Amino acid sequence: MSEVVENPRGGCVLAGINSVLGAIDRVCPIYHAGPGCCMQSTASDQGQSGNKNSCFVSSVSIPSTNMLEREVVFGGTKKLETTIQGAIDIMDADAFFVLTGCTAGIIGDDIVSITDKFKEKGHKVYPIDTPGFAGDSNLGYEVIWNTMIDQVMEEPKEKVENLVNLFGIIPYHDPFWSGNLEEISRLLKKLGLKVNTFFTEHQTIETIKTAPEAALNIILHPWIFKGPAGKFTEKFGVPSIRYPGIPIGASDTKRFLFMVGEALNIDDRLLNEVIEEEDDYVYHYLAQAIGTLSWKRFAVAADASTAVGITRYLANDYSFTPVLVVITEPIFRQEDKERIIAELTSLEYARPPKVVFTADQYEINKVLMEEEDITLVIGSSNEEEITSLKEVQFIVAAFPIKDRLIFNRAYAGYRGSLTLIEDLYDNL
Amino acid sequence: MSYKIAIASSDQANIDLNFGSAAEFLIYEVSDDGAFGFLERRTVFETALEGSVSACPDKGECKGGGCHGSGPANPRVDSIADCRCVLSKKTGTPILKQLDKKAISSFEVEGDIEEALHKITMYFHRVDHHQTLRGIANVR
Repeated sequence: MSEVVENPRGGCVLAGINSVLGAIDRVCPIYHAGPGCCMQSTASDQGQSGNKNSCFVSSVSIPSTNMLEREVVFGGTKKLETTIQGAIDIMDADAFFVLTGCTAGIIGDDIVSITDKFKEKGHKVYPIDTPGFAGDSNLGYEVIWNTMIDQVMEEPKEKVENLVNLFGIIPYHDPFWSGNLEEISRLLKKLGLKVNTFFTEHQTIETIKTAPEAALNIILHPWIFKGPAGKFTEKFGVPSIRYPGIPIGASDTKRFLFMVGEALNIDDRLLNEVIEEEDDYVYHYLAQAIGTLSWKRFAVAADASTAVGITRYLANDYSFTPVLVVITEPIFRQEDKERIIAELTSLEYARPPKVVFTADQYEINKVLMEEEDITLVIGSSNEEEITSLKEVQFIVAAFPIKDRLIFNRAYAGYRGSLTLIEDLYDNL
Repeated sequence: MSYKIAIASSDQANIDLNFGSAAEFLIYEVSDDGAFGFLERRTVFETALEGSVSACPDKGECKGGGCHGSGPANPRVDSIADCRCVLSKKTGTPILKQLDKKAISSFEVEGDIEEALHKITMYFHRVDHHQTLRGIANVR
């Protein structure tokens, strides 16, 4: 399948891998790729995600072999060897991951033979033999976790009954990833769980190594991570549950917590106690600003996870009317599309919105333009132009976000829902 | 179209000289079907100018904006102006720029001439015939 897409959101596989590695403390990617790949693959994800940069190494400071014609003709493995050695000498990292760019992928450089040499010397150098052209950043997220499962994670010494792994909130591909992970893990901790988010609280590669000790993998996404989840179960026997999207607001977060509670047999009394407490917190505030936001007929244009979360929250908890939802990433499996549609149409009392799947900005603009009586659009920076033409209220709440600074702002969970309402009022 | 390749070598068997220290270049001719054969040895006549002046005049012309190869024409570059590419151990940046201007590609490579020629002719053959470069690193 090939089609031309205007304004694709995110980058290639390398961008997806780089985003995950960039969010882990003290981990260094090494590019076996052409000059420019480091910068572009960082710019396409991290660069459009709330102006926050990788905590350890990113963009032009990533070691790269800068392959040119010479490496195509005579092979680039020798240069890769010196580049890895150089990175080991200079970078004080806990682990190195060698990424293959398109050039290396086409000519078929044997990177594993090189990384093996370093492994023999006791260095932690892991090869990822998936070239950039294999897919988009979403695939990159799955590729890096497959690599972690295959090469980094260790057989668990013991099982920790109350430990869970959080997946599906993609660093930088969700601009609110830090805050969302923090809010979700705050709630899970209240249920007496220990949470591996991998990307917050200075968790490092050591956390990933011991991830198989967990009792459950929780995937917060409508479709991603199917492959890695299967592999995780097969190799380490850790089961997975999938909550299809980001839970936003009291109703959906409650549904999410019940799902976790059921999977882990958490005491009902504790569960209800936590939910009651959080409900009280949220409604206490909402009650103080009743009517500040007038009723809206809204459209959402965002990645599946965000779109599901925001649509369900605003329709179910805030009684806005959903009119149109545009899912802006390419989704290939029919079952995934069906799961997304099911989430978007099984609303409590609102009439189901029209759901459109398209990654192409021209198409996105067209469907938004055609929908006449919407009064609010929730989208990414890419929708700014069309909404100003349309003269409707607009907030930037999905990737890519170019004009906001986001540290720990969250839309997920109980507290995140309040932030979303604040932002709606501020008309960001 | 057949084309020529220049090689900087001191012993006619290995690529072992820097571009700037080659007193002569070995010229190989590559025919349409990719077969290559030795054509001639081309001696570089060192001019008085070149002996005393570096290829990089550094008169402040570049102003830190990168090298554009604006020094005096290099006799070595002139001597291989009819070649498609040159293989040497190392080539300096000003010379690289001068080669670029004459559309001569330069490859920094060391070792056996036959082996290098085999690889480079295969590469050019594939490029010229619009063939894929897939797996070219693993073709022996």
